[in-house]
Amino acid sequence: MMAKLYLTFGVFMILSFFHFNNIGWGFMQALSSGSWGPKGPAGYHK
Amino acid sequence: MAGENQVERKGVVKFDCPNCGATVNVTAVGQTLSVACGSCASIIDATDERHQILQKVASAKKVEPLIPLGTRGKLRGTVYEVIGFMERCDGTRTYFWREYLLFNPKKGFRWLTEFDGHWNYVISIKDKPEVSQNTATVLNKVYRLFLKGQAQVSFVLGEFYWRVKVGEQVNVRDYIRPPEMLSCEGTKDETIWSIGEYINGDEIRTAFNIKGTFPFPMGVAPNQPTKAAKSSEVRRYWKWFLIALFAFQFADLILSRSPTVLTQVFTFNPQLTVNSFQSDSFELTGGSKNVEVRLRAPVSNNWFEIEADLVNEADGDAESFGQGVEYYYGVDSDGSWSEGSQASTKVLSAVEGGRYHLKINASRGNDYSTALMNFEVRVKRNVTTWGNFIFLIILLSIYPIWAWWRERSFESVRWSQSDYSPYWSFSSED
Repeated sequence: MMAKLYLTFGVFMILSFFHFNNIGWGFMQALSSGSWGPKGPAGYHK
Repeated sequence: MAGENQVERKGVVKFDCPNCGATVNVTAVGQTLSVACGSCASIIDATDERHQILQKVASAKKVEPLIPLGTRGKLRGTVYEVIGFMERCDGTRTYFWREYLLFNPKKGFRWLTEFDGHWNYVISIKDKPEVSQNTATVLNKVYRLFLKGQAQVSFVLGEFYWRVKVGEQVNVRDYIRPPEMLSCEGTKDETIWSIGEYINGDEIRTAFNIKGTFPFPMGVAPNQPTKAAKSSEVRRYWKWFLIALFAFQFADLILSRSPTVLTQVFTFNPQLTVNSFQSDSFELTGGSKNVEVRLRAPVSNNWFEIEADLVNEADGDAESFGQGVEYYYGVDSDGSWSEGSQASTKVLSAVEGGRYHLKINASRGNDYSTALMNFEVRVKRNVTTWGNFIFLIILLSIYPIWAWWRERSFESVRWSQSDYSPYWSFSSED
């Protein structure tokens, strides 16, 4: 049962990996650059 | 704990115990060779018309079976009646376990054994296993040696298909392949092999409609299956995942194109309080892809950094990021040293295609130099990154490692009761 759950989880994660790689989304970059946050007009942070 | 399934049956032979006069029943007529009186525990020859006493048991010991004799129940699709019960112990009389003889006129005899609340459903086999030093193989299954010792009958009740005696002793070898156990019981005259399968006590309680509770299982039984996922199965999936991950990652590394879309040199003037720049426009092709920005500045014992906006010229939206370089070097008592680098890269996630430029604010550590300094910014589209790859390897490894550790802990407890543990060995200095 747990092995099948792990199999399902793993397949889902591999497909997610393929998808995120394809759109150029990086987990580590998202963490470090805060790209999960809102984007604003040019120079808004200054 | 009386079973409600206790029944009176036709075909049962009854006679009076020649020792105490209590009524003795024989259910497996023609197959039962001895029967132990439920009242005085004398063992009587069931094949003798005069019902000769084979053994008078002087001990006052009386063990109450958890499943009373005469109880019927449907187990594994067959109705069995409990016709015999014995308690046995090891040669040192330290460990005691109980065995119930089940009988069905068509299927014959089966056993239920119970030790420390763990139950086994046991069938005698006619195939003779191939035995090597620590394994036994039968029916294409390999069992590992778990125990060698003696078993001694300490108490009997009811019928048996041999002439049982209290004190009777046999040599025992148990081999395991959870949830199965292959057992060999031998005397100098005969050897009997049987296969037991671990069975939940609740299944037996339900089958024989026993009220009350059975003893709670203590510790880990030799052939008890682990509740955790089989770590070998999980490990197999884990290997597939790694293969898939490596295949995707290296296919991406080899096949994907990463064009440089901007290489531009800017001049930093340390005499200005604000150094702002705007790059040339550049095109990011395709849909959502990442962008790598590489910054190179010839700093020396100093730092340099930029605060930049990647501006989409179509809608003015910007993604802001900061990036810096620092490079220090010197000589101390250990010799020359250096740290940092004059170049750094930054990857921006999932940037939509379109026309962009960079707005840059640059700053540098004050080194009292007034010389102008050129720095280079290079932008590449769709580079291969390793963060997702490494993160996913770690994520997918957590459960296999946990399952392996849990299975190993379980197996260590199981084998701690064996002299033949594959997890450690007893060494002797003799």
